Amino acid sequence: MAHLNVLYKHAAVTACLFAGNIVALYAQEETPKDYSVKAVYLYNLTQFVEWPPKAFQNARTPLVVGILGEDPFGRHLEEAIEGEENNGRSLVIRKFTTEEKIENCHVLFINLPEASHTDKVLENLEGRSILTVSDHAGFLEAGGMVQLVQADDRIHFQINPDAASEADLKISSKLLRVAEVITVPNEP
Amino acid sequence: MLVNLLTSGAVLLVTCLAFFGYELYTFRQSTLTKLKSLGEITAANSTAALAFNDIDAANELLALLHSEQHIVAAVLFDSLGQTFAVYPLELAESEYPTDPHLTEYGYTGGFLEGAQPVVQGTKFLGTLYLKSDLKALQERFLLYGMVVLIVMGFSILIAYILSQLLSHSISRPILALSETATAISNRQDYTVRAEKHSNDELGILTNAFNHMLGQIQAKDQTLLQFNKNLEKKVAERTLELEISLNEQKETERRLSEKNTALSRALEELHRTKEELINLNNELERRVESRTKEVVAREIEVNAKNHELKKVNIDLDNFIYTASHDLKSPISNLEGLVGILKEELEDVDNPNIHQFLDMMNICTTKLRNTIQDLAEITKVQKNLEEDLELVSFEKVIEDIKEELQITANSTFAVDLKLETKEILYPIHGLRSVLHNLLSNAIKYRSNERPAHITVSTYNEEDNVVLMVEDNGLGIEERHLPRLFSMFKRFHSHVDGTGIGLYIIKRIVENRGGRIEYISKGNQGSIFKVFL
Repeated sequence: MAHLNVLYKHAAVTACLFAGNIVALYAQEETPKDYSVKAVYLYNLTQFVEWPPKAFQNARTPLVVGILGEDPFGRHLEEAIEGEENNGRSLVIRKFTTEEKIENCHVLFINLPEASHTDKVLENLEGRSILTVSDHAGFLEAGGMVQLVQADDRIHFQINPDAASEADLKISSKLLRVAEVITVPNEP
Repeated sequence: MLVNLLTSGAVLLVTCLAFFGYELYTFRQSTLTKLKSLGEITAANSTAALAFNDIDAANELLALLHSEQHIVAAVLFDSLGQTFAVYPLELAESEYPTDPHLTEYGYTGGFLEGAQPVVQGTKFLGTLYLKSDLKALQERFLLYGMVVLIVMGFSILIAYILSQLLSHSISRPILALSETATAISNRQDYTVRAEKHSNDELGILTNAFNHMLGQIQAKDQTLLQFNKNLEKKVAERTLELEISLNEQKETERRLSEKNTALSRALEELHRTKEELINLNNELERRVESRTKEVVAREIEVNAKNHELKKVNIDLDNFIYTASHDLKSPISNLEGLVGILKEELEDVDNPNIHQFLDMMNICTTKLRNTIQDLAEITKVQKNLEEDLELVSFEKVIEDIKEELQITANSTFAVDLKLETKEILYPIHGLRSVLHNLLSNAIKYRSNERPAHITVSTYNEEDNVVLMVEDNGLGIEERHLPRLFSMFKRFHSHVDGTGIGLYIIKRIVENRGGRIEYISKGNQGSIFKVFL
């Protein structure tokens, strides 16, 4: 079953690629198809990031993928992580409504309608080893780490490695090679 | 020379070929390893590109393979097996397998190729295919070939020059040494010495060789001497052994002689033994036959004895009948003679009276004889008489009284009776004593009065009765027939010659015997074992 699921997921990704033009037509509307790709990317990101040991209670502690705000993935994220693991850890999805309740989380996808709210959340999360991901414009400038960007009929991503290293996260150079590295000047 | 060159050339060739082969092998291996590690690196680097569908990044990554000029093709497949990126960009689809199954890196047909997985963590992301040509290998092969050829050429040249140079200084002394050695071993002549050509190692070798020769020569001398001594000793020992062998043979011969003598003696013994056995058998046979003879004789004797007994009985019967039948005619004859004497009393013829008296005497004698014969038969009859305890003194007194009536002279009887009584048939004992005493009186000497001594005593188990007189005695010549019937040795007195016979019969019938001991003409002793 796990294999079939894997195949299914990649099939989805590939289908997406071949249907690049069609996707482009609907790109602006952020169809669920985009989110199926983003869900796979979100999972793939975890493969190239290394968390400090203190981020986990023990070797068996699951890796938690959190969603703050409205969940845009539907069932795609669940499908993407089903049967997968990260360094022997199982993957768990958790949904948060307010940032105060965020705890025991390793990847956080932020999907808040107001940018000011996002800023506040990022400020609060400063110093915690949480990989922050969003597809909102200006996320990196607000202190986020990974921003998914729709461009050239494809989904790219931008990474702010400084923010990640401040959070004690190590991002693989391989990831950096395929990403667009953005350096945000320190706020005054 | 040529041999040296060929040898060194062959050795060099083999060495070079081995080296060449080894180099090629290691080069192939290292090329393979290099391709493998290149694949590893490339696969590791292309994970993110595959994960995030970044074809540009993938192409860029593969383009880096440009620095490896022998890589002719590189293809990245995604996890579904679709071609994701290729190198070089103009690569035709026929140049690589469209089916990206994983295969180990290896040499296939003029190429080195293989495919490996692209994995991030545990996640399979795609496949990397790499293909390399073998130009590097061919270049290396050419290079090595050149090197080998050059090295061999140079080596052989140098070898030739060196051998030319060295043959003079090395080969010649060695050849000389070898010739010397051959000469020595052929002729066994250890006095030869090798000639020394130089003061180098070969000179030292020659010295050593000569020194060795000297030692061998000395040893050879010693050995020869030793051999001679040994031969001498062997000869001596052989002589000793021969002598001792001869001695041994002599001893053996003597022993065998002795042995022969012994066996002869043994044979003799055997023969003697056999003779003895034969003799013994003969003796046994003789004893047996003699025994048979004796038995036969005994049987014969018994038969004769039986016959004699019968004759004896017949004789006894005859005597009894004769004495009994003659009694009445004798009495008639006496009566008739008496009547005749009375009738003829008046006849005055002295001759008639004398004849009549003589007739009377004759008849009386006849009567007495017949009485004695009757006595004998009586004895015969009394043999079965019962035993009773008899006193010697009483019997002797009775007989003495009886004899004093009939005897016409006096006599004296002394008794020395140690044994007083005896268990005996009384008539037998009486008859024995009566006859002995009457004989002693009857045959007394006229020169002296009769004196008789009767003694009894025990001798051994028997009672002995001895009657001794001082009478006439019996002449020596009569003794053998002393106890026979009707034998008389003195004619001047009356007697029938039957007394002693009767005594003998009585005594012998009881198991005893009678002996006569002569005193010459001074008397007789009768010793009776009752």
